[in-house]
Amino acid sequence: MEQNRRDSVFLYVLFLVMFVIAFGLSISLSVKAMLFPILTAVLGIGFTSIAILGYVKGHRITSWYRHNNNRRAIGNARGNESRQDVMSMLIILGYSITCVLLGPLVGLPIATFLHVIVSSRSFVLAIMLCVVAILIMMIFNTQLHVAIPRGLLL
Amino acid sequence: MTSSLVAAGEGFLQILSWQFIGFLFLSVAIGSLFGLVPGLNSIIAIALFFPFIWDMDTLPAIALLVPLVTAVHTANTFPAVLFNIPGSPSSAATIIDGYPMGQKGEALRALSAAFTASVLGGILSAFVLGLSIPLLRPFVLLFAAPERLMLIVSGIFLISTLNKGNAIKGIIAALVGFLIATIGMPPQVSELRFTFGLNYFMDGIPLIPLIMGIFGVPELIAYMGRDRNTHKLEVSRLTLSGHAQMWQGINDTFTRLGVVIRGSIIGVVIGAIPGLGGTAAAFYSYSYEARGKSSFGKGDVRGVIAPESANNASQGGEMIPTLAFAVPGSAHAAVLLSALIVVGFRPGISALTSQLPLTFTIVWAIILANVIAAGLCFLFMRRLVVVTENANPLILAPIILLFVIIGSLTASASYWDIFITLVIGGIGYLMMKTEWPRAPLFVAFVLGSMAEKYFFLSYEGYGWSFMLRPINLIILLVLLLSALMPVLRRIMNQVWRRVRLGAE
Repeated sequence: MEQNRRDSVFLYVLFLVMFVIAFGLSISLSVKAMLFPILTAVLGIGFTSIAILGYVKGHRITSWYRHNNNRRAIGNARGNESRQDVMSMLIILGYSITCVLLGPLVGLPIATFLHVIVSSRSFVLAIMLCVVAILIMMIFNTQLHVAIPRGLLL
Repeated sequence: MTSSLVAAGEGFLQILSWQFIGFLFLSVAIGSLFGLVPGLNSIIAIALFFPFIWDMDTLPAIALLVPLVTAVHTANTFPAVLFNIPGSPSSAATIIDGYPMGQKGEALRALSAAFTASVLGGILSAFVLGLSIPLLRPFVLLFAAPERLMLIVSGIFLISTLNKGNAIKGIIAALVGFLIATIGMPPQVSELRFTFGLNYFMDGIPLIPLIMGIFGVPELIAYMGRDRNTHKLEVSRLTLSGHAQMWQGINDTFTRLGVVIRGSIIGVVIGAIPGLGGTAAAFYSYSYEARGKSSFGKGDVRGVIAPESANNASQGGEMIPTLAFAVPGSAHAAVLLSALIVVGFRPGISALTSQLPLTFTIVWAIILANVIAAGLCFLFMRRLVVVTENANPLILAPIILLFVIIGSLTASASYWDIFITLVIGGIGYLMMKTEWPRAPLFVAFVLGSMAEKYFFLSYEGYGWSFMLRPINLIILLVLLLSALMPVLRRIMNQVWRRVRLGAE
């Protein structure tokens, strides 16, 4: 039952859609280029169909729905865990957006500062980690010469 | 054989530079931190090293990458023994007897026994890896494109089906990995596939955003969500002082060398089978030793020695298919393999011919890393406990996030890298929460282009009859047997039960 709850229709459907898109796109290109993807897509559609059939046959969708409702009603530790995960996802999203808007050299230290000050309310810790972030970015920019052009950072 | 000995000697000389030793120490120190902090593991450690190794020569990159796994496997014993939490999944079996030992005030004995067993297991497995190279060499050279294709497919099949959870889920995930690998320009014709008109996808999905997305982001989300108070324990209550216990632990291991050797053999064999890895090896070794012994589970030191030796020995085992056949034995071996490929190491035939000294450098690095990791853990035992106790996601998460974002940007310095990391991170997170295996997807992605190249060469050269070549038929038979094994076992059990009922 526990496994049933965790199984996700969403992912099966997502994967089926991926295979169908791949299969659909395959048709327009030459066989030489597409033989491998077509084989993969055919196998993928086959296996995903078997999985979905097994899922429905075992009435897993209904049990999954019921469990989900129970979970919502209970609102226990698992709910808290999900909330924490959502918060963590939002933090990662926030970092990414700040980096894209301001550029990584400025964006990453600012995102770090905001993240730490909001979650710990400690100004000293936020400043400290912000300085660490600036140092790390400077090392990347000047010392290691990784594949980030200076223009992008500055 | 002579050339292998010469290469082993050359490999040894290569590790004797200050640069190599320095990087190795650094790597062991950082790897130990990742092992000490519950929630972090060797996959994230290697993934976060990508931005640093991108521009490096092969030799220093080996010194940075290979010891990470060893150090994590060694240091993850601390939280297992002291806090009843595995530092990483492979130390879960150590908890069963390690934690009761800690509760009895024998934490130091358990830890020193674990470190001694780890270093012995690691060294033994590295020797097996070194010895297997000259033995595998003529065998690997026999392999043409069809056999290599079949080997890749069989490796991915094993990773998909032997992984915990549903085998069909594993196979679907692997097929998605193959499909993602086909994005961009195919190896045989100049025709773009699945790019949707975007230039970014012309060379396919870059490796680093995929690693960061599929492993880095989901693990980080889970890590940030951890309640750090769950492992607040009174360490002071646990005996962590006095040399007597430390020597007792070392003595325990040396007087039970049989347990270490059995654990190491189990570790090497299980590690060499793609899809099983260190966690399975540790549990198998533990259950093998625990058979019929009531003292296990109540703080028996053999219950610490067995999983720890198997756990560290699995690294040498995992490296056998990874280096010889380019088929990684586990998720972290796959990430390590892709990192080694990035810095110019070529697994397979090159690793056993032109790059043989480098392959032996990896073997020596494993040996040296095991010794240094265990030495560091012995020397700084009390200080390292403080790291586990005070590891705060609030401080570590922003720093790891920095590396995740910088790491993803190193792929092509485009904002698309961040976008792709986020999208794949979202899918990876969903897969983690719904218990879909991520390793088959990643391994299939890494080996996808190679598989397609061999598929094309095989099909052009032999048509569909490439499947009927003798080695391929043997591999197919083994795969079929492994796939049908659960069904066969069930049928055999039913027949056996009926026979017994009939006899009664």
